[in-house]
Amino acid sequence: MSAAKEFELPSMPTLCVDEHCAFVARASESADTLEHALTEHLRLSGIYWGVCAVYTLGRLDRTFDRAKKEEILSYVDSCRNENGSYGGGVGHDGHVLYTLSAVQIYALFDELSRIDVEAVVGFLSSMQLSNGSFQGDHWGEIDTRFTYCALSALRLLGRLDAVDVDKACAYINSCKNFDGGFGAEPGGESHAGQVFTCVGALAIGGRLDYVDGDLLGWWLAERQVKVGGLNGRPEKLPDVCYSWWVLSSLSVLGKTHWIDRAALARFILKCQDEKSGGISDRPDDEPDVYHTFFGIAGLALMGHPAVVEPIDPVFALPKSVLRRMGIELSGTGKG
Amino acid sequence: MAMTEKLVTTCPEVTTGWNRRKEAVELGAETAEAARDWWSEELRVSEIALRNAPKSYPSWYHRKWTVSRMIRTMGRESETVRMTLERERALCSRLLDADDRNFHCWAYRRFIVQSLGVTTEEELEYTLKKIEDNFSNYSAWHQRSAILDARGDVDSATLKGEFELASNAFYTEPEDQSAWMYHRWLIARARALKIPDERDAAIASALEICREVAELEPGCKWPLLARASLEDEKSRRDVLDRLSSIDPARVGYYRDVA
Ligand SMILES: [Zn+2]
Repeated sequence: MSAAKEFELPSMPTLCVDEHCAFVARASESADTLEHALTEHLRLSGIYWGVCAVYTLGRLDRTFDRAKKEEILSYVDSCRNENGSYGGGVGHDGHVLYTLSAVQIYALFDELSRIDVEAVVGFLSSMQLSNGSFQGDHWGEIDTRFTYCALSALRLLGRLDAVDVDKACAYINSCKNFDGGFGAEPGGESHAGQVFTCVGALAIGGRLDYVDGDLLGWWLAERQVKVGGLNGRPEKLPDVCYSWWVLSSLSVLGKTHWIDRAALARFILKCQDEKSGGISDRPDDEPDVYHTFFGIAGLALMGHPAVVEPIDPVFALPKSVLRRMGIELSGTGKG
Repeated sequence: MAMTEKLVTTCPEVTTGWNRRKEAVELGAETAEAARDWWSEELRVSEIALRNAPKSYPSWYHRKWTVSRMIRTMGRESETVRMTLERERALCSRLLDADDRNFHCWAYRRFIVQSLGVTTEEELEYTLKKIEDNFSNYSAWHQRSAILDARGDVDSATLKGEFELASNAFYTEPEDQSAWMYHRWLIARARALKIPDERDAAIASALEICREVAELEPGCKWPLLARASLEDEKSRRDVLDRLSSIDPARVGYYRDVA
């Protein structure tokens, strides 16, 4: 039975669309809470998760009216630094991670014209090192996550030509492990989040031939545990966010049918706070915007009927947004 | 510096706070104070941060940045640097005793032992100890594979020992996937052996052990999974059929590889 059919079974919990949209709206209002203060440094990522979540549910305009949308966009504008990078929040140093978040938010709101493309491209390309890797900022931390962020943002801006894509992909390949997965650096242990970034970077760079699809697909399939959820590494607990990291990678490899999708969907839906909205990492934990987005995005990849905007497994953006930008979609479409 | 210390120890994820400290260090280096012991402070503060948040990316990076800068300015041979590196190695061992799957700590440890010039043999010994402490330590199995891979082709004598290590693990904990994943890699390495007799012998003995474990643990999927890649065509189909019924979640995989 296909996952989409399973969603109609009475045993499948319903996705609380209204509650989740209200949860996201509340999260973007509560500027004076402690939680808000503690997450100030990654606010741009938080905005991207929230906006993308309600977009995929078909509720972007209903959740954010014109004034709210303008408020969000001018906040993003104010996170820009002189060198073209964006910080996680106002007054925070620029970083590759949040530069991608900024580009994603502008893309979601169809406001790419607010970007100084040359400045952003200048910053991102200056982050590539001679061995092809990317540092996150000028302090030199290197991580395959940053390669993904840079390539994704550059592709969204139509400026992949600004960096050495072949070298970037060869560097990713040097981070491949015995289990077919990828780590943060050469020798780093495979981790599903890291696998997403590496497979995504290779997909953008047109070098998926570096991936051993059978070996990695199997390792990813073994992330599913008895309760249906997915973990990020062997012998670890399941967590809703891995629904995205694992499933998106399987989707790019055309192998989402290697796991029990209905069981995964049931796990995600059990992590919902049905009263106040939001999705948590595991059943009965506190929900947050991060897990809310990745839970919904995972359901999107499985064709949940309430997630009306299908999502692209590489760019983690709605397909309609990419189509609007003239970017061809990723994944094999199988599964 | 007191202000940033408070910030990074209470909110270690705030990269900007760590950046201010790095700037201050770099600024100080250009003044007459250049010789002062700037690194102890950075190591102390990042240790507090790591004690509260052992998985904080920026805290680990600050530590790596500090040690890298010491090496760059004082040289690897300096007594201070060597003492610091040894202390760092001991710190990693303590942290990995507390959480043997902390991949941040494993990564930092790789950087430290590389800087110290620790031999491959010594590192293999360390992973062996960690694996024997806990067969479920996938991080240690991973590290072991990375060391062996970096050393070049894995020869048949080495493989024999590694197969034995994996078997010890799955006779003890047959349901733990760590050793089985390592085992899959060993089979691939065995297939790559250049001398046909050695190759066939390695594969045959791996198959024999998997059959034995499968008999001892009839409900366990892992020896069957290994057998699926080792048996001839006919037995292979039977094994995959059995896998599909034991482990229905992954039936799509078993169908595709059949
Ligand atoms: Zn999570």
